[in-house]
Amino acid sequence: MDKPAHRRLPGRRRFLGTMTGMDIFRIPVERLLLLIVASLVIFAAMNLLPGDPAAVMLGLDASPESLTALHHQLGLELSLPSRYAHWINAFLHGDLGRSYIYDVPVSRLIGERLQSSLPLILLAMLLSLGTGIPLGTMAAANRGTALDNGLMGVIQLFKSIPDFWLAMMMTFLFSLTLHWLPSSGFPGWGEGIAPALRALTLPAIALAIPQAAITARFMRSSLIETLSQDFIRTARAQGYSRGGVLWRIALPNALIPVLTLAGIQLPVLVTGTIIVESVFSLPGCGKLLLEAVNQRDIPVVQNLVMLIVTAVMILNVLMTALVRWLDPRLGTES
Amino acid sequence: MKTVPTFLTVLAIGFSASQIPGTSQAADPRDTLSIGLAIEPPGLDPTRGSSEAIGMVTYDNIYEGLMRLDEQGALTPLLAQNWHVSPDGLTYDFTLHDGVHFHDGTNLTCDSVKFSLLRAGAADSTNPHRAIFSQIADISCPDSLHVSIRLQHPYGSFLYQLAWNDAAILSPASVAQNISHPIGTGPFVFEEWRRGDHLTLNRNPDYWGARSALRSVTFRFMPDPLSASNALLAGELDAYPSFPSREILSRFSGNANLAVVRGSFPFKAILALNNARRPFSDFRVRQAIAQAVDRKALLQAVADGDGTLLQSHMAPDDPDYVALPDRYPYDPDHARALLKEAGVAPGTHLTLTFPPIGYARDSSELIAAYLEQVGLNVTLQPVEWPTWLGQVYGQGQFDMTVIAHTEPHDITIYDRTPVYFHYHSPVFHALAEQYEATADTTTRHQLSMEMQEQLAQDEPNVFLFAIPRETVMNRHLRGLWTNQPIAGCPVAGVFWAP
Repeated sequence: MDKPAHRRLPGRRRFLGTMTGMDIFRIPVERLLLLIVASLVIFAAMNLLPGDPAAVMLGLDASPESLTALHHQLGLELSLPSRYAHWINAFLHGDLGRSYIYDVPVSRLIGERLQSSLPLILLAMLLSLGTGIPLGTMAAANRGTALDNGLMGVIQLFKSIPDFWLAMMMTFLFSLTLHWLPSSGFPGWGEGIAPALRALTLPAIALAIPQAAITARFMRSSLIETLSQDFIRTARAQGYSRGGVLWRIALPNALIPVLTLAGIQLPVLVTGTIIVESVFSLPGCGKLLLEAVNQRDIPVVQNLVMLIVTAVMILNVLMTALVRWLDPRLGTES
Repeated sequence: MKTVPTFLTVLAIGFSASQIPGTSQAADPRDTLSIGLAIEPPGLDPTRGSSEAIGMVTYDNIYEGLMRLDEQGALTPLLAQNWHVSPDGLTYDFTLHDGVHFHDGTNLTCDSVKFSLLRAGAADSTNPHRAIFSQIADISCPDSLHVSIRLQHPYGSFLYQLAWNDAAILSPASVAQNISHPIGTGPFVFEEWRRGDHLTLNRNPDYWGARSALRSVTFRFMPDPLSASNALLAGELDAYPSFPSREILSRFSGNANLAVVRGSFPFKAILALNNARRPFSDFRVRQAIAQAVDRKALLQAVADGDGTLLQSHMAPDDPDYVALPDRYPYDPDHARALLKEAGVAPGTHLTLTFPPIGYARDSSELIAAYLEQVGLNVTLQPVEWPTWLGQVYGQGQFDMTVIAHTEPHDITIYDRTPVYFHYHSPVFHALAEQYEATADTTTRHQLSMEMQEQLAQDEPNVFLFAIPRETVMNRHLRGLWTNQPIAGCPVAGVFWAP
C-alpha cells in the first residue's frame, strides 16, 4: 500500500472477474472439502448422540413393539455408513427428507420458518449497519472529544450487555409497560406488513444491538486509520476541505473493511436467532433447529445445518468478490 | 447526532400508534380464546404417538371416543349413548348417538368404530396401546348404530381405555391425513397449524351435541416460561394450563386480570430403582434408600411443601387412591444398619440419572446428598430427554432415576414385562391379572387397593410426592379444565363471563 491513488468509485472490472484463475480453481475444492467435513461432523453428532428418536416420538407410554415398528419405518436399523450415504445422496438431489417429529417434508418446514427468520436477519443487519456506521463515523470525525468518549462508552456498554437480558428488559418496557409492541409470536405476513414488522421489531433490535456496537467500534478505527493515510494528506494538499476529505474520500475507503466485517457478522446473526427466536417465541429457523436437536429430529437438524453452512459459504465467496471488486488493491496482494 | 437515533424512534412511534392490545374490547362478549402450551404436538394423530401434547389440543375438541373422562376423572359415555358388558366380561355392546358427522362430512356408524379400533390393534399399528387393542377378537355391526366388541380375554380396563386419546373414533375416508389435518366428530374443526407457533380451531357448525360458546380457539406453543409469562401479562394469552415454572408464578400475584388456579393431575414423582441390578435387587437396600431420604424436605424444596407424600404408585386425585401409612419413614440410622446387613459397603458407587426438568433436578440433588449421609457414593448424571427416554426408559440401563409418571390409572405398569425398573412380583402379577379380568367397579377398587398396598410394601421404587397443577388464566374465563385427569384441554364448555 505504498502509493495508492485515491479514488471514489469502484473500477470497471467485472464482479467475479477479479478472482485470479488460481482462486477459481482453489476455492471450490477447499469449500467442497469443508462441506464434506461439515456433513460428517453433523451426521456423527446427530447419530452418535445417545437418545432414540423413536422413543421421543412415541413418548413415555410406548410399548416395545411400537418402538420396533417405528425403528423399521424410520430406517434406523440400517448401518451408519448406509444412512450417511442415503442422506447425502438425497441432499444432493434436493430431497431434504421428512421430519421425524412433524412427519412433513423438511423443505416445507424450513420454507415456512424462513418467512420470519430471513426478514429478522435482514432487519437486524440493516439496524446494525444503519446505526453502527453513522455512530462510528461520528465518533471518528470527533475523535478525542467528549462526544467521542461518550459514544464509545455507550457502545462498550451495549457490547457487554448480554443480548437475552437486553431482550427481557426491552420486552418489559415496550410490551408490558408501554404496550407498544407484542411480547412474543409472529402473526405471519398474511395478516399484513405492519403486524409482522411489529412482531419482528424487538427481536431484531435485540439481535442487532451487540453487532451494531461492534460495527461502530470497527467503523471508528477504520476511519481513523484511513484518515492517517498518505493519500488523505495528498487530497488535503490538492485543496479538498476537511469535510470533503472525510465524506468523499476517507469514508468510502474506510467502509470496505466494515463490509468484510458485515460478512463475518452474518453467520453470527444466524446463530443469534437460536436464542432470540426462543426468547420471543418466533417460529423461525433458529427455534426450529433448537427444538429439532432437543427432539432428535435428525433429518431436520442435518439438512438445516447443511443448508446454513452452504449459504454462509456462498455468501462468503460473494462477499469476498464484492470487496475485491470495490477495492482492486486486495486482488493483487496474493 | 442528526441521523442516528431517529430511525429507532420513528419505528417505535410509528408502531405505537397502530394498536394497543387488550384494550379495544367491544360490548359483545368475547368468543375467542388463546391458550399457551409448553409442548407442541409432533402431529395431530393420537393413534400414532402418545405425546401428551397431542391430547392437549385434540382430546374432545377435534376427536371423540366412545367414552370420555370428565374433569374429575370419571368415566362417562360420549359417542356411545349407553353400553352393556356381558357377564363373562368378553362382549361389550354399545349404542351410538344418531346424527353424528365427521368433519369430512361422512356419518359416524358402527363401521367407523370397527375400522378405528381394529386399525389400532393391527400388526403394523404404531398405536401406543396396540397391545391392548390387539386383544379385540372381533367387532360386529348388527346395524349402523350398534357395535358389539368381543375380546379374546376379559380385560377390566377396556372401557377406561376407550376413553383415552388413542381410542379416538376416526373417519376411514380421511385417516391418512390426520397427522397434519385432523378429522374427528368433535365440537371444533381444525383450521390451521403454523408449526412452531400456533394452531387454530374453529367452532363446528354441525356439531351433534351442544355448540360451544367459542367461535375460535388458538393454541400457542410457548415452551419458554418467561416469554409465556410476558405473553400472559401483555394479554396475548388468556390461559396457560400446567404453568411449567413455579418461580415465575409470583409475577402474577396481585394481577388484576390473571389468576393462578390450583387443580390436580395424576402426577406421581418416584425415585425409580433398577430392580434387576445389584444392590437394588435386595429389598433391604431399597428400604434403606427409602429411609435415607427425607421426602418431606424434598417436597418442601421442590414445591414449598405444597403437595402430598406418596406411599404407592397412585395420585390422590384417583378415585381408587388410598391413603396408606408411611411404612418407611425417614430414619438414616436404620438405613445405615439395613445397608450394612445387606452387605453394601460404605462408599459404594451409584449413579442417579435425571431428565432436564425442575422437579427431577431439584429432587436428584437432594437425594444424592441424603444418600451420601448414609455412606453411599452417588454420581449425578443429568441427561437430555431423548437420552433419558432411550437409555433409561427404553433400555432400562440405569441405577436410579427421578421421574414423574403422569398417566392416569397406570398402576398396572408394574405388571408389564419388560418395564424399565425391572420389577417382578408373582403376588402383584396375580392381583393385576384378577384386576384386568373383571369389569366390576367394586371388585376393581378392592384389587386396586391391594395392588397399592403390595407396591408400598415391596418398595420397588421410592414413591416421592404428588404436586398440584397450576393454571394461569384470565379472571373472566369460565369452564376451563383446571384438573388434568388425562392429557387433554377440552374447551367446548369454556366461555367468557361479563
